[in-house]
Amino acid sequence: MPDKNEKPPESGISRRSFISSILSGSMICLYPSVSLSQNPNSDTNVLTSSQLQIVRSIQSILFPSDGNGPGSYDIMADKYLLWVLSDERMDPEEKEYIIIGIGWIDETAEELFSKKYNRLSEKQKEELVENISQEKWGISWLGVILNFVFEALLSDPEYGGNPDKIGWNWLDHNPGYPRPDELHLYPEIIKTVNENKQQE
Amino acid sequence: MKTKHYNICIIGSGAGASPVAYQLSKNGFNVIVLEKGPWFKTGDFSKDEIVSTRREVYTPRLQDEQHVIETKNNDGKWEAKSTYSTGISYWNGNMVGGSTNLMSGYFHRMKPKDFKLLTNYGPIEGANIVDWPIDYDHLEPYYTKVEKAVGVSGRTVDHSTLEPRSNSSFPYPPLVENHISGWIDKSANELGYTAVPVPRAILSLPEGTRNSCYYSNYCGSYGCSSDAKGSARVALLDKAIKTGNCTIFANSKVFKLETNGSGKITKAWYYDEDNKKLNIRAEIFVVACQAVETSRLLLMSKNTEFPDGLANNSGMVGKNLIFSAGGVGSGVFRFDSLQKEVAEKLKTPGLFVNRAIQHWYEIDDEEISGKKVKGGTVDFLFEHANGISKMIRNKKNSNGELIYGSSLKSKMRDIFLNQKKLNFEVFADWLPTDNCFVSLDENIKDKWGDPVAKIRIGSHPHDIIVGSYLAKKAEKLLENMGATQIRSSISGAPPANLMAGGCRFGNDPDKTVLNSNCKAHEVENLYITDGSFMPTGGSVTYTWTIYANAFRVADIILNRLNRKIK
Repeated sequence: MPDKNEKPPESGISRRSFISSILSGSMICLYPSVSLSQNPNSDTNVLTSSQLQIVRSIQSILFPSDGNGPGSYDIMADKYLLWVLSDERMDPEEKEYIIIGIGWIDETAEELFSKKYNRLSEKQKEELVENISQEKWGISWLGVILNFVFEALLSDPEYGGNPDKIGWNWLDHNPGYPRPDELHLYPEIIKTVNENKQQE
Repeated sequence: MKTKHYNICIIGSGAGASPVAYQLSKNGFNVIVLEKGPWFKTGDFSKDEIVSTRREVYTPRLQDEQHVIETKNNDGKWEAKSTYSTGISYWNGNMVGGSTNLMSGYFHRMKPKDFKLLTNYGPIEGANIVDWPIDYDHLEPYYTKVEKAVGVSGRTVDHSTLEPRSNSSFPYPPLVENHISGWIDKSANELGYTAVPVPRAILSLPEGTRNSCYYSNYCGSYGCSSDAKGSARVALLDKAIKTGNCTIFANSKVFKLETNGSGKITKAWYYDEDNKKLNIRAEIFVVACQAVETSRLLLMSKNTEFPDGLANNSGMVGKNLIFSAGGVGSGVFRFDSLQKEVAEKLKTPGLFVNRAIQHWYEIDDEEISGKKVKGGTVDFLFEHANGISKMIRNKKNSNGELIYGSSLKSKMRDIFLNQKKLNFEVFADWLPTDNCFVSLDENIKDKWGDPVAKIRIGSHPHDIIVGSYLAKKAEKLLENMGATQIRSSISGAPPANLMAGGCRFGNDPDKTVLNSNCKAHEVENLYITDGSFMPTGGSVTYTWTIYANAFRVADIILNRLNRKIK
């Protein structure tokens, strides 16, 4: 596992260069424990149950059920993120960034509390998020997780988040019309349009 | 197998391409259009934020096709970064009809003085300012033609920089405006000038098979579901197809123009959707792939006849690329500070603002210079209705710290429910310089193995001075209206959706790529009709001018082909 000095900064280019170096193997030699084979990624199982548990917890700290509208559980942010990670068109490096970041959460938990993240108390978990939100890599990684929470809150319910338009209703958000039908949701729309082929 | 004979082969299908396809096919000539992107039909568009703005659907995946951007770093050295590494895409609407499908359709004509920038305002050190080889009068009939053919709605009011018009009114009345538009008018009057109603390439009344605008509230970045927006696809290409003389090949990426050794193109080579290399023969070739990709195609088409790229024996292909200088700003109106009735009117979704400041299109102010200098335009518009993007923009505080938890949720609810943000966009001339150009990257290839375009982006310091001056005027207007949290950001960072230049037109073959007819000096049958021809860009969005000039060139090509028949 890369130590925190090796965690990427917030800018996209440095982050991607960092990830590229991991994927190309150079970092794997230096840090054998980062081997991607530890992540049983496949279309059907993109996160281990432990990783998913960490993500759910982080999402709920970032976007809590606090009585002011829906929280991450209510908008099914976990399910939404799993859909994102199973997207075959998504840049593999972006996926890896999310997954590797989960490992850094565990690493930080060990550093701060000498325990795996999932064994921390709720207070300790919040303390950890507060801690990493002050660091460049934390701002970057938590920011990415938040982006997908926002998508789960305000994207069309057909994508799996925002059940019963709970996010739209909370923010009095008017979606545009027409809404997408089944054939025009992402990523199906790519196939649908390419089947238009040439002129009629 | 006998291949079909085409009079015209057009590469690209947006604002620069479609008028040529429309005019030539209507007059009985065989036209083929090769478009690298897919063919979204009207029924394929929805207001899905994920498809339209959050995923690479309307533009290529950066891992497949990227650009390399060179900017100056803090040490003053040029530093190259690929758009795949930064995540900042320079693609705009890769699809039949190009980015006109996704435009907001803020339509401004250039003004007479824009055509003679050097004569009217003199040189500026470090800037390659020249006059155009044509005048406003040459283009005026075509601006008028676009109003009808593409569909432009609006109204004229007398103001200090109104350009001459052959028709006093627009063919379509203005779109319905939000209460705030009248408020802007009143405030501008109080400050001593007239706010300008902004024409839009959006139908306010039905025309033929096109319906009028239904005020969806999701216009820019989205395809139109009523065909009110004047996209090249709906306004011109659909009609070209109906003539029976126009064929469009989607998913067909042209990578090389082959010449015969005597300054004439014989074939356009392209990859089809199965990545097979195929070619098209035609009498005349028109390139309109949007500025960067047009220059790239010419540079990629080098051969023994043109060792530095097609039509590039002058070395001018790719040079003097321009964007739009300026930046953005905003002010906030909190509902609790307004009368309830006014607040409700402001909340009405979908209605347009459609106001601009053009009072300082020419600046005569000692604060900037001892002589008159070219100014620009400020367009006003409500913050886009995109919810996800709005949340992402607000997830950090002004110190760059991440906001999360209950404080994030409270902030979001306040932003969504208790206020309305009025944005403004500043458009000033992006002065052409030796440090803004397109070349081919030596290392990075696209998914077909071809070199990607490298874009050096150096802006002129004068651009910032003018942009900042205009932003201050806009801020003053917002202040007078009672807005709070007024701010602006003017920089040398370009808007990637407003690109032009790279293949200047002019009378000197040593300094320009195209002649005044937009035909390549060195190639007998090559015309370029996107924004590449523009030596300077004016201080407005480009689309109307690109449409108008393409209609002008279409007439030139038509005359040439008709003469040949006679």
